[in-house]
Amino acid sequence: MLNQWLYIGIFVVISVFLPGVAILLARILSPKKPNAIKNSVYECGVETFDKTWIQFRIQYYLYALVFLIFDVETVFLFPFAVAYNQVPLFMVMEAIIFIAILMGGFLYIWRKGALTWR
Amino acid sequence: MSVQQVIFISFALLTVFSAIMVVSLRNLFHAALWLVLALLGIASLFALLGASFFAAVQILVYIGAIAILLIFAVMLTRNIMSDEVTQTNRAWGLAVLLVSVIFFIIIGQISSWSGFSQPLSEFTYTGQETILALGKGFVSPSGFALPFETASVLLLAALLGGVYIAMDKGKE
Amino acid sequence: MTISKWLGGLLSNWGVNDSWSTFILYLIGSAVLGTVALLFTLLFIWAERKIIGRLQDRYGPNRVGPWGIFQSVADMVKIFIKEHIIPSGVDPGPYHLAPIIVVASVLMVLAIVPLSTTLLGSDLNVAVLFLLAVGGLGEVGIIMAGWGSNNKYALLSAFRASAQMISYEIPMAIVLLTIVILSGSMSMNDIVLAQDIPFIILLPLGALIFFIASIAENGRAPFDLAEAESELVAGFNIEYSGLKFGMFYVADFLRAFISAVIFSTLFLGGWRGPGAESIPALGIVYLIIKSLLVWFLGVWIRGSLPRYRIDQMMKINWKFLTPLAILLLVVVMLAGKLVESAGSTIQAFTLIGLNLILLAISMWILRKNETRVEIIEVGSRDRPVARPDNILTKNPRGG
Repeated sequence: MLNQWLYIGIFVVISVFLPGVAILLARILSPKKPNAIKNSVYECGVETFDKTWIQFRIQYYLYALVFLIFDVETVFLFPFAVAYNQVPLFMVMEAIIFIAILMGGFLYIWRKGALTWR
Repeated sequence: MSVQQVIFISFALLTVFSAIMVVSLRNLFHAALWLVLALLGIASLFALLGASFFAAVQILVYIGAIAILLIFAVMLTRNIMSDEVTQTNRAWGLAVLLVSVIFFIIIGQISSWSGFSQPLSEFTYTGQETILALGKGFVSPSGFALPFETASVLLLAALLGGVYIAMDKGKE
Repeated sequence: MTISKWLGGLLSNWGVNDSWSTFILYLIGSAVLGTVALLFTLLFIWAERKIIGRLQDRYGPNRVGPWGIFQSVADMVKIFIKEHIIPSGVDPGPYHLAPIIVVASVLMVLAIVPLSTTLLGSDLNVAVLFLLAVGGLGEVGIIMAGWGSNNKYALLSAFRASAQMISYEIPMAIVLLTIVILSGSMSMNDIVLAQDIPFIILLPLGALIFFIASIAENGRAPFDLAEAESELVAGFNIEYSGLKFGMFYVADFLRAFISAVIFSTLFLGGWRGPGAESIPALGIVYLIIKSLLVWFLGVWIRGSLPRYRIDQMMKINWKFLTPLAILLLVVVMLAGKLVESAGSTIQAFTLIGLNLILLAISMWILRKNETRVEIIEVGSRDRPVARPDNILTKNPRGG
C-alpha cells in the first residue's frame, strides 16, 4: 500500500510542477510593462469605489456547515458500505437508523429555511 | 537513515512549521491557508503509517469541509476583527517554560517504553481488509454499534445547533 | 511484456536498486500521464468549440489549419506570451499559487484511474474517497484565487463558486456510496472488475444524479454562474492574465473530460469490453471511446440549456438531488439484503425496477410542485416593420 501512496505523492509533485514550470516559462517570455492604470483593480471600468470588503451573506456559512455534517456522515457510511456484503440485515437496519437520524435533522433545517438562498 | 525515516522527518517538520505559522501569523486568511498545509502534512503522516482510509478522510473532511468552513467564518468576521491585535500576552515567558517542562516529561516517559526504539513493523495489509474490519466494527453490536449511533446523534446536535445559532443571527 | 516490466528489466540490468527503479518508473509514468493530459486538453478545447459552434448554427474555429485544428495551438502560443498584469494590492502568496493548485487538483484524479488491465497508476484502496478529496482541494484553490485578487467581485464570485462546488459534492458522495455497496470495495480497479453488468444498467438513477452533480461540480453550463459574464464580470479569474488565466481555462476543460473518464469508469465499465482482458491497449481505447461519449453529452448539454440562477442551483441540489440520493441509498441497502438469497438476475431486475420507480416518483413530485410561469406577451406577435409611411399614423399596436 505504501507503493500506491508513493505513486500518488510523485503524481502530486508532478502535477504541481507542470503548471508551475509552464507559468514560470510564460513569466519569462512575456513582456513586463506595468503602469499605474494597468495595475489598478478592475471594477467595471471605473475607479474602485470603496475599500475591498463585501457584504458577506450568512448563507455561505450555512451551506458549508450543512455540507460538513453530511460529509462526515458519508465518511462514516463508507466502511459500512465496504462491509455491506458480509453483514446481516439487522446491521443494515442500524445503518438506516444512522441515516434516518440525520434525515430528521435535514428535514428540520429544510423547514427552518436554512437551505433557501436569500 | 532509511528513506522512510527521511520522508517522515520532512513531513513532520512541515507539519510543525505550518502549525507554528498558523498561530503566529496576524493575517487570519494566511493562518487558515497554513492550517490547510498542516492538515495536509498530517494526512501524509497517516498515509506513511499505512492508514490510507484516514489519510483520505483527513483531506476530505478536514481540508475539504472544516478548513473551508473556517475560511468562511474568517470572512464573516473580517469587518469586526482588526489585524492589529498582538499575538502574545504578558505571560508568554511562563507559558514557554511550562510547555517545555511538560514536553520533556512526556518525552522522558515515552522513551522509557520498550517499543520506542523498535522500527515500525511491516504493514502487510493490502486491499480492503482494514476498511472491512472498520465497517464490521461500526455496525456489529459486539463492536461499536452504540458509539456509531451516538455519533449520528452528535452530528445531529451539531447540525441543529449550528443552524439555529446562524439563522438567529441572520434574522437580526 | 508490458512497458513497465521491460523498463524495470532495463534498469535492473544497469544495476539500479529495486526500490529506486520503482521510483523512477513511477516518475516516468506520472510525468507521461500528466503531460499527455495537459496536451490533450488543447484537442478538447478545439473539439468543444467546434461542437458548440455547430450546436449554435455557426462554424467553430475554421481558419487556422484544416477545420481549425491548430486554433488551440495558436491560442496557447498567444496566451504564453501575454503580459502577466499583477494588480496592485494583491496578496502574492494565494494569488500566484491558486492557478497551480486548481490545475493540480484536476490532474491528480488521473493517478487513480485504471486505464487497462495492466496499466494502472495507483491501486489505492480508498480511491473513491480520494476522488472526493481532490475536489475539496480544488475548492481551496478557488477561494485562494478569489481572495488573492483584492477585488470584491472576484471574492464574491469565488464564494459562490466554492459554495456551489461543495454543495454538489454531497449527492456525488452518496451515489459513490451506492456504488461501493454494489461492488464491495473502494478501489477503482475492483469497481471496474465488479462490473460484469455495467452499473449504469443496475443504477440508472444513481448515474443520472452523479452525472448532474459532476457537471455542476465542474462549473459548466447550465451551472456556470460563477463565470457568467453578465453576472459577475468573468468571475474569480478576473484579475488573472496570461498563462495564469490560461491555467484556469485548462483546468475547466480538462476537468470536463476527467469527470467523463471517472463516470465511464464507475458506471460504464471502464476499460472493459470484448477482448480487453487479453489486449491491454484495447482497454485504453474502450475507456477513451466511452469517456468521449459522456464528454460529448456534457458538451451537448452545455450548448443547449440556459443558465441557472444561484438560488435555483442550490434548490436543485439540496431539495432534489440530495434527498433523492439518500432515498436511493436506503432503497438499495434494503433491497440488496432482502433479495440476497435470490439469483443474480432477480437482484439485477429488482435494482433496475426500484431505480425506475424512484425516478418516476421524483418526476411526479417535481411535476406537482412546478408552477406555471405566466408568459406575459409584451407587444404582439406580429411585429410591424418600421416603414417611412407610418411615422405619422398612430398604430394601436405600437408600430
